[in-house]
Amino acid sequence: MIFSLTRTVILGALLTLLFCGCTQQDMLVEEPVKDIAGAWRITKAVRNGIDITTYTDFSQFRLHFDANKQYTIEHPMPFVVTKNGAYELNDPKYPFHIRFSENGSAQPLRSSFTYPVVNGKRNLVFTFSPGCTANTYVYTLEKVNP
Amino acid sequence: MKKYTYALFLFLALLAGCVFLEGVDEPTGAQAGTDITFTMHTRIDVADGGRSNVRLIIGFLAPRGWEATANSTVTFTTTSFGSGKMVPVPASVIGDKGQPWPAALKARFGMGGNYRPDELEWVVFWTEQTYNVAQGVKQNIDVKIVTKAGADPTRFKTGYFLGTSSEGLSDVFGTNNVYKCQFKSCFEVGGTGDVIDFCNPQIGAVTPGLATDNDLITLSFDPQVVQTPLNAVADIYCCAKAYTADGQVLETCVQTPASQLRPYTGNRSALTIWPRAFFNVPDGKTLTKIEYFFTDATGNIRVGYGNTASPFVFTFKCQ
Repeated sequence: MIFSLTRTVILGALLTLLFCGCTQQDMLVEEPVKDIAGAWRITKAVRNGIDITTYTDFSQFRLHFDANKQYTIEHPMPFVVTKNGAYELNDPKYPFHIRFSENGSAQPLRSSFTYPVVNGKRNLVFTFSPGCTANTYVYTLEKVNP
Repeated sequence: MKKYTYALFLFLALLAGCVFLEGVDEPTGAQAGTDITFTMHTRIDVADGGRSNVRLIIGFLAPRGWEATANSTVTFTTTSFGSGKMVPVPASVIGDKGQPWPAALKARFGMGGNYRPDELEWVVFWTEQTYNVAQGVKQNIDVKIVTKAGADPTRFKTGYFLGTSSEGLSDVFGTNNVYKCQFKSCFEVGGTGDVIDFCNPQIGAVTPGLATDNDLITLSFDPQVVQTPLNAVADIYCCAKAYTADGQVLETCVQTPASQLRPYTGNRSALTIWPRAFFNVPDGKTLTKIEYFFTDATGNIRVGYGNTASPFVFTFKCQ
């Protein structure tokens, strides 16, 4: 009898632990809005799979995104766009497309891009074909320190 | 110890599903813009316990401008497994060392001695279906590749690869057992216009070979092809004229850092330009071609096409 009572008490304690001791608390982490505002420079340029970063001077190129969804380009190079205009991300938290609307152009140009963190720094990686479609370029851009 | 090593290799060789590339039928030549048929005669010999869900993989070299992955039809016939279609291997499939198949073949076997190898590519297909092949299967497989030649007359050295999805480029069973690679001599595609020659070295060449004025193009100078007046010159520049579609001529022939060639591959030097910016092309106009020379810092020493007084010519086009 005593044995049975002890067993019941232990079982009850275990059940209590099961229901009370392991409460799960979900942490809701808000995904931050991706802030691409600022000036970006080219750190790597690849043409048809070959690194061409040292073949010409990419160092002067600057792509400025401002907070009012406008962009400007200094020292343009072949890119998705070459003239200033407006931009829009398809999703401010999980962007993977950017729409460029060049000033004076009726058709906006949509480009996919990735947003990896490399050596602790955000990079923008654009893949595009400004000339023949068979020629593919991949530019890696890094934010210029203000 | 040596004896055991040999025994291990022999054992592994017996386990291998070997493939053999017995030969490739090529036409004696072809015409630009037409279909070309290459037939690979292959054989497999499954020596161990068989393979499940395996695909046969083939690869061939083609100029990038041919866009051969999209412009090829590849089929195969076997003695007892029937016939079938081959499809491009998805880019997500790894061939070797984290690289997709075309890059893996380039890294492992090279580009068959072609000049300007970056202008060619390995085009890789595999059987549309997977197959289960039992131990002891010996099978002759003919693979027919029909690919459309580009619009320009072209010379390049052909190359072929044969392998399987189960073994990949593994050398566990000994080198060249589970895959085969074969390069052949110069194949000539005739036609009208400037010949794109990958078989012979060129003093001057343009990469990529197909481009518009909105691409970045690399004009390279190779001092090792023939002796030219620029061979002893350290600083080489480019002097060029561009022609717009409406007949305007834009000239950039000033020896500045912007026109100076930079170190390129091997002993070559090169200038990489965005033609629209280099020639200050007005909005709304497009370039049809450029003519260029390589010069010294004074501009007095000039080297042109074939080491003559005629300029090198590059025509902008995408096909």
